[in-house]
Amino acid sequence: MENSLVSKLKKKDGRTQEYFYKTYAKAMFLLCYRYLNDEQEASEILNDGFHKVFTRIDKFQNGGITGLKAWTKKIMINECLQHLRKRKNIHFVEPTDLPSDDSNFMPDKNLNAMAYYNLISELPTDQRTVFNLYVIEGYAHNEIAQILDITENTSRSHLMRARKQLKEKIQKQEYYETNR
Amino acid sequence: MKPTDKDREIRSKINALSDIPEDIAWNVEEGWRKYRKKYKVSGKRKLLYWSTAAAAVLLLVMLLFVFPYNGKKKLKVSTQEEKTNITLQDGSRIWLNRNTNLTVNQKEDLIKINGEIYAELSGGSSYKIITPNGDFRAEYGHFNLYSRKKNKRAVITVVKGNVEAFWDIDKKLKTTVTEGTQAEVIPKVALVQAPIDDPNFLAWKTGQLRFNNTPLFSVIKKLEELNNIDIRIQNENIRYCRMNSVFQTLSTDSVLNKLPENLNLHVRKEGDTYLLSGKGCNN
Repeated sequence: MENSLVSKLKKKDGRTQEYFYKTYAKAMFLLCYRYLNDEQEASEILNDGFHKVFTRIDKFQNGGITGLKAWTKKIMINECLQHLRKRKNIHFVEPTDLPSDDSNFMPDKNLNAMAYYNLISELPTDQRTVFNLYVIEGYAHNEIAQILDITENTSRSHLMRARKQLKEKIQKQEYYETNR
Repeated sequence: MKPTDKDREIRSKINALSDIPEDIAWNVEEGWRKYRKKYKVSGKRKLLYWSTAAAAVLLLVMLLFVFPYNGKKKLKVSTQEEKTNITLQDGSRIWLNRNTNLTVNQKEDLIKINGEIYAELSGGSSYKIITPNGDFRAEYGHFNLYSRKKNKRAVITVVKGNVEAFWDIDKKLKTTVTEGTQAEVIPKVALVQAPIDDPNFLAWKTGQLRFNNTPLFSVIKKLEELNNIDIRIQNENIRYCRMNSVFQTLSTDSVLNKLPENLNLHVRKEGDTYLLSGKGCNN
């Protein structure tokens, strides 16, 4: 079934494209919104990303559905980052006053996924981008530095600031879990 | 600095998230509609499509000569700009939307359609319903069935009773669509069932449109679908303006001309395309 799906996408079959879109659009929209924090932009970048997936599918090396999903995710992240650059919302400047290295959050066992999602979406763009790439996507600082054309120190600084902001918000108990 | 346990916990939760935040209006169907509009998705190569369509028409013409109309066993109805309804031998009633072809073989309890119908089956017979994009079986039920060959999908919305939906009735894979749910069949790709999400799915038959806190983009989508027209929003701020109105008409002009009363919008027409603009809304 997986290989059939990939081969049908490579044949540019519209029905398969529709199925693929409808299956993964929600997850990819959540990803785009997490980077862009704007519904309109997330919706447009999502569609541009899918268009790239469908038109460049021949470049996808066989890896089944799992590989295809990961490849799609990479394309979406790249589209988001390109858009942020165009929006000129990313200005990475080496901060002069660095927060203390405190990687630990206060105990927050009551936070659910949506609470974390909303917290991350509300971070300032530069902190949010680095946080997403490091914590959620799992990139290392040297990789983030290359992706964003910044220094590793800048990447670390923005991550620290993001964590500090999140910790402060959680400590204020602005977010709580309603369903578990 | 290495990822912490907390980082891993957050990553795991975020990656498992499946709900859209409540304050976001985006949905998959709307996203796909915009994608199709922008990138003009087609399912088949045009030559193959038109060849298949021509073959289907030729076959239909041949069948009309080979199998003449039999008032008792076979019923054949086609609509163009009009709508109509028929009553079968067992008391079942079928309403046909515009541009719909329907054949009923009452001896074999077989219904074939290409278009859109609303059926109220009395339960007197178990009907096999064959469409270009999916097959169905129903005995007692009230349902709307949309399946046009050009759209490459079938949508069945069940109001009462149950309907079985198949990719292909000769194969075992099926789902039972129950009261209050709808199913979409994309042949050889997917069969998706969900609660009814369009309160105006029967507007073509009732002639009534009911919008209850409905975002403008959904209103537009429904008008485009009912009237086969193009409506464009020129100012993205108005896409999410909400409408609360009931219309006893499906006319695009009537609905859009009422919009400025409810919302701060302007409507004009360029050729066959309606253009909507405005500063936004207070709701």
